[in-house]
Amino acid sequence: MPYALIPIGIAIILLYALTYLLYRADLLLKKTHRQIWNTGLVFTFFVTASLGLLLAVQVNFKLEIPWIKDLLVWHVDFGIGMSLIAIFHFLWHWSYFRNLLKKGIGEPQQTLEYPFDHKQVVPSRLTFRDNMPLLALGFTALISQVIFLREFLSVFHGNELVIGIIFACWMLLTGAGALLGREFRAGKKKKDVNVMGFLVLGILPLLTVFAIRSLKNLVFPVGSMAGILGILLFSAALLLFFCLLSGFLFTRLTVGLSNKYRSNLLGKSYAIESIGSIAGGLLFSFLLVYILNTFQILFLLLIINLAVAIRLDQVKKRTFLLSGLLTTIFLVLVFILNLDLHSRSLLFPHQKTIETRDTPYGNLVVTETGDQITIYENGTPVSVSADISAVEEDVHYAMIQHVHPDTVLVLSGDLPGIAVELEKYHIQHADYVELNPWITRVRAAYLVNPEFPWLNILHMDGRKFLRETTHAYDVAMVNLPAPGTAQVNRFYTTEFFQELKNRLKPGGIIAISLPGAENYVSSEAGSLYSLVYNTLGKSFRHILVVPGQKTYFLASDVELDIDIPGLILRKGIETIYVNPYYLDLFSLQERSHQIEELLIDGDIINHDFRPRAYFLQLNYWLSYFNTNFWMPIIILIFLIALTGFRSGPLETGIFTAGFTGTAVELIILIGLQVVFGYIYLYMAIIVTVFMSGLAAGTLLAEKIFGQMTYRHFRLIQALLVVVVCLMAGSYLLIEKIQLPEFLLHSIFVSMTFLVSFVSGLLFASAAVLRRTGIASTTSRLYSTDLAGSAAGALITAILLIPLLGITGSLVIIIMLNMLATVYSIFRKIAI
Amino acid sequence: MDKRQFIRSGLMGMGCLMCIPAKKVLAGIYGNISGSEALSKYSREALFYTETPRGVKCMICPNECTLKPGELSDCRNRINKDGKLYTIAYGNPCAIHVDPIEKKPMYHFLTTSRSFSIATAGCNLACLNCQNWTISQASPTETRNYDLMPEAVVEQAIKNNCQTIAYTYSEPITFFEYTCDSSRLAHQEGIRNILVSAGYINPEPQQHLIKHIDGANIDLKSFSESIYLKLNAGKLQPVLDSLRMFRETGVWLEITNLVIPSWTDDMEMIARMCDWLFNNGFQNVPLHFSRFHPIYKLTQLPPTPVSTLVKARETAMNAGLKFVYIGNVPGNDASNTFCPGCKEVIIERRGYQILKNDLANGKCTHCGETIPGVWD
Repeated sequence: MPYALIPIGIAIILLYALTYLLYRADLLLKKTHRQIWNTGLVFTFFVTASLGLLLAVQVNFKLEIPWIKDLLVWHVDFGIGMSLIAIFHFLWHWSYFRNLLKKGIGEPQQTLEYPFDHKQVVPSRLTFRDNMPLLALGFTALISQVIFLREFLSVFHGNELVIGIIFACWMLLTGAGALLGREFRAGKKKKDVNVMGFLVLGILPLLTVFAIRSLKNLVFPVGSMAGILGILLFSAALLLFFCLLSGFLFTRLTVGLSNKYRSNLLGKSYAIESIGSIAGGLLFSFLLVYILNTFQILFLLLIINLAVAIRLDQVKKRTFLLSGLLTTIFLVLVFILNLDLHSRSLLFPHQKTIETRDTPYGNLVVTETGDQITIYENGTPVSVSADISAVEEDVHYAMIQHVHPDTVLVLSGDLPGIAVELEKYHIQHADYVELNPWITRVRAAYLVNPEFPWLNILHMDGRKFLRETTHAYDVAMVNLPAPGTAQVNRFYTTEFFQELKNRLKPGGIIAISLPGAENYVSSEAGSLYSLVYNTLGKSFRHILVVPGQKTYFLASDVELDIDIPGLILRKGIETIYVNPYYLDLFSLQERSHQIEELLIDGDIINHDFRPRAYFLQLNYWLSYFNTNFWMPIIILIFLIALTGFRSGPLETGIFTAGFTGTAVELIILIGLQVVFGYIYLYMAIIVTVFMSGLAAGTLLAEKIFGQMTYRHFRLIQALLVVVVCLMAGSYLLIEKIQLPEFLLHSIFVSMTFLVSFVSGLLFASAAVLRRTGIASTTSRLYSTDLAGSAAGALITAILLIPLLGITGSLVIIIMLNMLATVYSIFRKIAI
Repeated sequence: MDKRQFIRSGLMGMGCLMCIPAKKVLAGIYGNISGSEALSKYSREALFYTETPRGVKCMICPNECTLKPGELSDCRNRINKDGKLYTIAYGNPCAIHVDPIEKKPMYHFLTTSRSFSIATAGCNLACLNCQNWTISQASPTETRNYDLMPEAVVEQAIKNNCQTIAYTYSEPITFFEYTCDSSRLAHQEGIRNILVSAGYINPEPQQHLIKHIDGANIDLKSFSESIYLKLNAGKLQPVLDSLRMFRETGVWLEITNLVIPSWTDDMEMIARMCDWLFNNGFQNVPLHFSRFHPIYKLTQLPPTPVSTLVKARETAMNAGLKFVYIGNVPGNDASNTFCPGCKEVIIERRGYQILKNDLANGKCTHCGETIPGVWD
């Protein structure tokens, strides 16, 4: 088992960056920051040393301790942590060691320890009381955003378009809220508005999640997928209140602070809100999602926001009572009456909801109807007891083609059923690889769960597994959903098929499936089939299309036979559905032939860095609703452009930077998944690095540039162009050359940080340069930034990447930034 | 209001206005096809329509669409061209297959024979669970079609050794003229015709059609007007009326009821449906309770629990229906035919094949009870 050098390294650097930023933002004392890390150093030292001693004793006295290998891993991992913290510690005391070498030990210099006088109040140095509301706002907004997105994806169909639409709604509505904040005139009651704002901000996430769950089956037909217009309106309506309020509060708080200190504190506010988001993101991804359910997490947000309201109101009796009342009500609802389970069960009427579990990969629900257990993953049934036909199709179409399948690879799918069917071939070994460990546990708990000695269950990303395994297989089955997202698209690319082929024994067979079209293949389905067929054709000599409930594509270098019922009969495999009684050979041949005739031969294939399949899958999905692919996109882009673009170069620059930031983040996340596989915590780390870069950029802009000028603004814009160019170059390298792993990690992390850091610098400089009042500046820049992000999320995910590929998308982003820079240069007067 | 605000408000207003023509443009692409483009060699003047001051009114099905010139019907294959109603689904099927007759399902009609099955695009309903939505929710102008005039349909059926032609997959009532002409020609060649339909048809055209139809499997989707409206965009009563007419005119009839969790799995409703069938003389009509699988727009529902189907079958048999089957559940005994007299298995089925057939001249070989159906 490899040691977690890179993940521990990155986690510690990030956490260090977080406490450092908190200290730089005056939210932590330098002393506290150092105390945290000194405690960490002592703790890691203690664990490393104790385990080291234990290991030494074990080796010396040859003791048989069963869990000794685990201890060794812990010993080394803690050692890695200790070493890194020791490096920080060493750097703090660098001057001490330097002096030690030069002059021997002398008196410590107090000025080095605390170079700033923290008691002195200067306009740009804010107190914790000043920062707390913004920090809570960022914290609440980020956690709510993640939870809302997860909730929407569990009631709607989860594809890139839906994700893009929800993000776009979020950004646009928050931007609109920020603009509302500018218009608002509170007079003397401005503090009351903020107090009420935080009270409502605490309750709204709870109400919104409850509304999503309870209204879904009232607004849309029970159990149905919503169309694109429905998704747009439903998500906009339910996000409206929270987003407007959070945008509104950002403007009001920034204006309040700036007025208090008679200084433009937009950059600082932006950074502090980002730090709140970082804390929220880290806490959610690394802790909360594992230990609390959705409503419990939202209850935590309620408490935080009520605390802020009480603090703002300086403990007025009314606020205190109201907060107490709200806390009690939701405490009872969430912890005693299990609101999470009951509200979730509203999504599954006429079924008894037995369990609901939030996992890092989404929501799992187990229901019971009569004698049937159904397991849902994000609202879609993925395992059903007694659904024998689906399982038999998944297994036997591929297995029966092989003369003697000994070793089998199964990527995802309904494990208990699949294992039972595989057993019929007396196989020697099977690896079952599933990303989400919780789904295996839930299946094991509720479905028939026979144990087989030949079955090896692994919980990791399929692509990652393929690169690491040394096994060779006779048959490989890919039981993944249709390629509706960039994440799933990776399992339909030529690179993946080649990796899979490399792990096949001679004569090996693979099976992959797409949504079925038994009696007629529409043009949309035909395009998708053709792409996958042609992509498979680059790696395999023979491809067989088997029409069933899904359309299966079997591929191999040996010839394949459509006479599946005959093969089953000849081999004597006992099946309930896949046999000559249910599969009529004539129909099978005829339908297979009809589909193959429709498939278009072509050079266009699906690549990792040019993911076309998910575009075609989106197009196919939209044909369910008779919706033209371009129509919702044109409407949204129009709205975004309307909100985002202003005539001024400052706003254009901010819009472009917002666009670039989100687009680049998306591209990095796709790149990471392609190179390393989907690693949940790594994704969370990248998002955190991005937010940290933003916060650091805004905080350090003044330090780096001193008095900000327009020339600086243009320079930063040019710098953004350079950084994205660097990124494009790195991607070209990654695509062409096999780079060492540490270099790949460094590229992804540093690129994420650099892009967000420069975006942060740009925002901070625009905040200083915009000469209008603070309310106008805040609302305009913040909403423009959000509109840019909305555009980046939507356009990059659903248009740029599938149509132009990763490098092509980066070229467009570079051009966009160059245009914005040129615009700034030529519109000097406007600035 | 400053200049910028004025421009922004103006642009937003324009955006809103653009959305209206955009809807029309979309409708132009997907709903309306201009008359001149739509008419082709696959167009025929439609049967059963009348002219009204508002446009031509199609009388084939209870939707009774009134179409202005150039407008397309709800079923997407009838169009008003210069004040006349045309079908644009004549001789251009988009799906042609040869299926076992049990797949329709027809269990009492020429068992184990093959059926030449055709469909054009279009349907007068819009079921959320449609298995063939890529053709039922499309117009013939949007699908890839074969050139297969009625004569060729019959020719192909003979060539493929099919004893029957099945008008199926989408909704044969909407390609009414093509079905009528093909089935008339088929009869001349001794081939029988099967209608696999939702039975959503007006009485007069049904009478016209029935003359050439030998067997029908009618999908009785539920026994509730409101569910028919919400799930299928249709009405229940016309289906019940058409069922009666099929039975009265001697067409061999089988009924399918798809049991969808949360929609049509209410046992009280199923009991009411079975009582109605019994009280209206359908006790000898085979009833197939079919298992639902998540498809088309209803993907967030589970498949129907087998226990629900078993319960529905028991309810139907308790109501007095004699031949009740469970479909789409491989390996289930309820696809066998039991003799209502001696309760013995007389036809043992597995999938589309028959393992045992204790039927001679349409009678149970155990007790001599007549088993209704078209057996040869």
